[in-house]
Amino acid sequence: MMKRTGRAGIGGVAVVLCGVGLAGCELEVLNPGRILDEDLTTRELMPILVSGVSAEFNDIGDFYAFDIARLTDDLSGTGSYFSTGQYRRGVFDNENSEGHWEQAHEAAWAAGGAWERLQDVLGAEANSFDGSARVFLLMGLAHRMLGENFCDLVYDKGPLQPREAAFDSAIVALNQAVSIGTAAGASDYVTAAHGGIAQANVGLGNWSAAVQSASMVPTNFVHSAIYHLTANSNGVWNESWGRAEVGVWATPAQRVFDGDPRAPYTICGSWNDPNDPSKGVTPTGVCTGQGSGAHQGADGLTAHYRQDKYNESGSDVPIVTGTEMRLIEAEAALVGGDLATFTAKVNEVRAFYGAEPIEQPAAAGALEFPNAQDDAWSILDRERYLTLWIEGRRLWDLDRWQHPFLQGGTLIGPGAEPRVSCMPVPEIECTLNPEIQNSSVCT
Amino acid sequence: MRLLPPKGSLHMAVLGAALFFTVGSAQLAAQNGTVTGSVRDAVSQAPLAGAQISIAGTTLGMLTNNVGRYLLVNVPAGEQTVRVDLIGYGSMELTVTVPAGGAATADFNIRQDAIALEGVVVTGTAGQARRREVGNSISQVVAEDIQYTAVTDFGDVLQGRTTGIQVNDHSGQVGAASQIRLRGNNSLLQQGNNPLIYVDGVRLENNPIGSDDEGAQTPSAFDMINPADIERMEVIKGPAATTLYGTEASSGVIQIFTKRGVAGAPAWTASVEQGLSVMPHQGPGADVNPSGLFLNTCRDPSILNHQTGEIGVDEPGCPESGSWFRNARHQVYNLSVRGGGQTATYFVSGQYGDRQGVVDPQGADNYNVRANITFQPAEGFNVQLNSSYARRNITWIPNGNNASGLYLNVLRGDRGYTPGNDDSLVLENEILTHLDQYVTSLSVGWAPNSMFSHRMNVGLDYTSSDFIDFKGWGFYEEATGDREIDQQFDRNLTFDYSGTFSYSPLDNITSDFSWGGQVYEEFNYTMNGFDELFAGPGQQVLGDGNNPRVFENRIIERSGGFFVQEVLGLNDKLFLTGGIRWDGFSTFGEGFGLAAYPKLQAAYTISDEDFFPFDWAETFKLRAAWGQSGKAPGAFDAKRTYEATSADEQVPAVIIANLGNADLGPEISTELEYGADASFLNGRVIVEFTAFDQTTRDALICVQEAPSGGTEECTWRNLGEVQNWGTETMVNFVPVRTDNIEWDIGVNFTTNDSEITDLGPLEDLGTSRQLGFPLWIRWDDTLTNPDAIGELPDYEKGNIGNLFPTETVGLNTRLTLWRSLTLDLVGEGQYGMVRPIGIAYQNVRRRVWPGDGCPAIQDMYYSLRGSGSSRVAQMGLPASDIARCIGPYSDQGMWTDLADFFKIRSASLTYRLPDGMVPGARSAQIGVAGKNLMTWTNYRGLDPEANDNGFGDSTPNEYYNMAPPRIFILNFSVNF
Repeated sequence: MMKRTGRAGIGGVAVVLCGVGLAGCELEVLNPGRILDEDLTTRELMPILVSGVSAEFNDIGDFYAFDIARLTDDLSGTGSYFSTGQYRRGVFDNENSEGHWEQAHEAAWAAGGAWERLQDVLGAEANSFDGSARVFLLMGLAHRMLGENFCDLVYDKGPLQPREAAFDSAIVALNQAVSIGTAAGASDYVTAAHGGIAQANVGLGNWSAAVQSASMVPTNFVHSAIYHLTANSNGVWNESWGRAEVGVWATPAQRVFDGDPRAPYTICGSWNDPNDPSKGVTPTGVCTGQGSGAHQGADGLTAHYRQDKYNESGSDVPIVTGTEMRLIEAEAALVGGDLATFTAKVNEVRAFYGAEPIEQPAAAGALEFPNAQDDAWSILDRERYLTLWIEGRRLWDLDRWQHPFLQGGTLIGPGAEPRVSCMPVPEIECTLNPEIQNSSVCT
Repeated sequence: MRLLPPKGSLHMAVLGAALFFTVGSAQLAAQNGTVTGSVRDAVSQAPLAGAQISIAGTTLGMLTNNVGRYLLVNVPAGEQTVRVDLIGYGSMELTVTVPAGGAATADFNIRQDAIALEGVVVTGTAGQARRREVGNSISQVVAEDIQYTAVTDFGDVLQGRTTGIQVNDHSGQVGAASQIRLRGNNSLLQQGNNPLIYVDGVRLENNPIGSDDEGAQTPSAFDMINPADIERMEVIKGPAATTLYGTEASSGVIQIFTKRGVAGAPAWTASVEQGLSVMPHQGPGADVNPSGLFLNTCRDPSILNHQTGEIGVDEPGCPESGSWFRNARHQVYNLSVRGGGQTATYFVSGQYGDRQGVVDPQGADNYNVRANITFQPAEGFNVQLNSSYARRNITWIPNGNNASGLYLNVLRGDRGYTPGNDDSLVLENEILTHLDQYVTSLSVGWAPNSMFSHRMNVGLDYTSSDFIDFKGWGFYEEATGDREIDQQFDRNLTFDYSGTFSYSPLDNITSDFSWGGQVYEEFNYTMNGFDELFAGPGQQVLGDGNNPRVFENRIIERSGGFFVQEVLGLNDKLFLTGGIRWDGFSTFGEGFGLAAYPKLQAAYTISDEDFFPFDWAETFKLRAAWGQSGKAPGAFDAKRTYEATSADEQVPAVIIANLGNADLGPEISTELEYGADASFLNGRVIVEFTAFDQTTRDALICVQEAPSGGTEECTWRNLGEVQNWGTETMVNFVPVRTDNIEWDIGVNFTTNDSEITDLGPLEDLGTSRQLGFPLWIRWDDTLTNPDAIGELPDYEKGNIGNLFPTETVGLNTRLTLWRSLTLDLVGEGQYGMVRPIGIAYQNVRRRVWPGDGCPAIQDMYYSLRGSGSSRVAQMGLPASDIARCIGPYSDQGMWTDLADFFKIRSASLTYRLPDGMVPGARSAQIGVAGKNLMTWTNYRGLDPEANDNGFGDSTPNEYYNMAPPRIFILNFSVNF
């Protein structure tokens, strides 16, 4: 009897061991789709790695353009997102800036990581690889965007720095892009890098350096964050054509600068009673087709005036343009009191877009809101508004000019006084970075 | 613990059975007689199979057959005492006089034990155990409860019947799964609080199946189970009880046992169910909202066109009936048979159901078949083969947070998104889910002698989902159409083994040493396809458009664990249990190793002691349990991985996906629970009380570095801590018990609270998980100046309340008259939670919310001119009115309500027809039942349980999703 019992017990233990052993042999997550760190070590993969940096950067372009458009009245919020009304009033806190901060830092970080891997895999060849030039270009532009849009800067979990630190970082990276791009014969990257250097120098107030770099960029040059129907669609298009979260109604583009070719829009719905919005909207019938049929905003109330600058889901968002370079030159001239050069540069831009030339203004004047378009500063304000419309650049202009729009702002409805003009360091950075937890931006 | 009846009784059963099938020995019959009869539940009159019948003073005995009948032959003539024993029921003896050569009848009506200490449970134990040996609480739901409940899906079975279980119906769409929580939440993970669900030892997929796109709800694997197949369910609710299930079991385990065959001639059961779903008035009261938010009535003199100011205008697209709702029919047909011989038994069943939703064309049909076979190939062996196949076809309507959803457009009146306000256009969006589920298990028990026993279980759950979201060419929103297909295949393989060595080292001490192991493999395969820009009508499948895309994912996860457990028994009164389980899991980091989960339990039936002073308390059991179980990280959380994507003009690219953490392990929940089970006054009062205290350490949280350091991607770490505590009290009272009247009242009360006590370096994980607050809260704007007259609202962020109830009350009562007419009522209240009313908030912003005095306040505001602040100042109203009703100043925090409610979950009236009324039938019954008949709540939305996010989500939010309707069911069943 005992013998039989023993065999039975041993049999049971054997089954357990068998089962555990079976599990122990293959305790791996099996999935053919994941790419592991050690997979990225071949030369052939380096272009794909560089494209990854571009993908990170492209995440920023339309995201900044969309939120900044709502903050600055490039576009009016007409939707149902919780943030729509708040941004329209010019309120943007350190929770709202989460995402913008992370994505720009990540784009720069991904570029840095890519550069390290390029060096590991390609060795010295990395210094003349066009992909390396692109990596530095994207890194520099990400820094530039941080500098233009955030009130303060932090790098590498360090202490608080003035935003100018981002422009310095941008210039270092962009000079690398120029150097490697030149060696690689990647002229487009080199030109774009010059444009980025010009933008960063504007941030630093180095007008001569800005003009010098700007002059390297022809007027018809455009370097964009790239979007595609399937790979990565343009978020502004999604929110204005796919949905009706934002529109042009009651923005300066519609009320003040109506008809300018740089700010095209279509009226999808017309007010039944222009004096009483509560009487609703009637479709005009001209907005038909995929995703564009909305006649009223997603708020169900506002007539939808659809922006047509980004008229495809794959429309690109300009990041560096020759026309902006001319306006940098114009502004530098204005700062220097040279109204003739100012006028010439502005007219180069207007000619490029098919707009009538302007007369030389009589005086430099001052910024106004709404824009009176009667003196040099107002003209520059108008030209930058229209040329850089929905490109995520307006907040920077408002801030560096301390634009009167910041005192209330918007052509209709209430606004904060002052409106926000730069994004605060986000709460997540305050929480996780002990170096700044007791600083003024976190307490 | 003993796995088999004593050898003598086994022989007795075999002998009795042999006699049962060889009735008619003329010689014996001449000298002796027979005893025959039936064994039934004293209250429900349900026949009880497998009851042990014996003749006192003899070795004669047998088990009742599958219709609760027995026939003992060769019983000595004269006066005999016939005894019946059945686990879970009290014993009973009847004295009969057996005539020589004749037959005596002894029919038993036995009652369930008040506290079935001898009842066997298997969930959370190694092998099986009697209740008196178990130190943790176990809830049971039995077939009888299901029989009397208005059941339309699996979740209904659990609602309101017992403590510590919360089941919420998130949607009125047929096929939408309920959300189940056991003892609330203890994991910071969004889908980390779903309990594990086993059917006959096979683990089912417990996460949502398929996509929730457009319909905003997901089905579940457990709703594929035919409730009519369920024999009983055991529910263990926390880590103290789930230790032997190891990793992934910290949110509790529900084990479902399906019906088995019983020896005897084929016994058939057929039932027909016809039902009707009706949607009551929706939204604010009819005085201010006569159309029911345009849902109940879309063609009504009161309907206002906001744009033209006209009254009495039909809603374009309104169905011909004048309402978006229909009285939805449902029909369900069940047929089952059970029977077999002494060595093999079977249970075979089938179901066809067709349930319409209240909005055409919503609904679902299902087909279920099951075959459970049990056989004993040799002495000591028991083999069970259980197999089921289920198919379900669900037609959804587009709903929820969906610009082309029905509710979103209808409820917003003429301020929706549909062209010309023709909301019927959205229903051209075809949304279908086809589900197939195959579950099979083979269980082999082997008891070579009275000391050793083994049980091995191998099981497979294979579930596939085919989800189609089709907007055909010409669809109003996408003129050239688009089509999305989500196919998901889940294959869960379970292998279990456990063995037990039982012996008695001393007369009054018993020992049961158990060991075992489990291997579990989950294979998940998803294929997501999309295409758009179709050339025209006609064939419009993937590949026919101009932008086909496809995404494939295959993941296999494996775990292996083993355990040992020792149960020491003293005088069959005090039981001490110690055990430990070790787990390896494929998602642990390479540097982690095995996870160990220990447990300790004590159970003491003190009422069996001589010194127990309270004679009026027939049973008093004290119990305490301490144990751990875990929750595994996600598939690739421990590894550094990159994601393939495309960039620029669709060129391949890689981006960082996850930073990885080689030391990543499971989160580990530790629980102490203690309590008592007692019955008084001859079982007419039963009290069960449990208190529990859980702490989840090493909770999995994805911790981001300061973003300035580089990536925004977070790293999964074992850093969090959550505490979760509460009480569970159940009182069952039988105020009336006579031969003709049995009235049973049950009250259960559950409290539950939690706190996040550590988030590593973080203060929150999004708004709903904040350090120092309960797990899953609504963190939103609250008004700081509600009473300020003429001022703009001023907000500050804060905790508005828990998203899950802190108190749950269940009330159930069953009144049975003349053993044939049964009224059963189940009510449930949930308290202490809030729910955002997305519909009110969004409709206020569009000036189409008819309630809360908003229309008048809005008219006043919009009739004024000037800036917003000047208009508000002129109105002279408190800021709370402005915050509630004026769109630019309103906030969702103002539209987050206390969502306390009490509902009549189920009410039924069942009449057992007199024997013989249905020719050829053994018995028959007819019943009417209702579900969701009444709701008491101050919640201002459509339904306090509604949730746009489906059952896998822990942040419920009502956002244009359908409330559960009232359901009426007529049922007729016959046994033959």
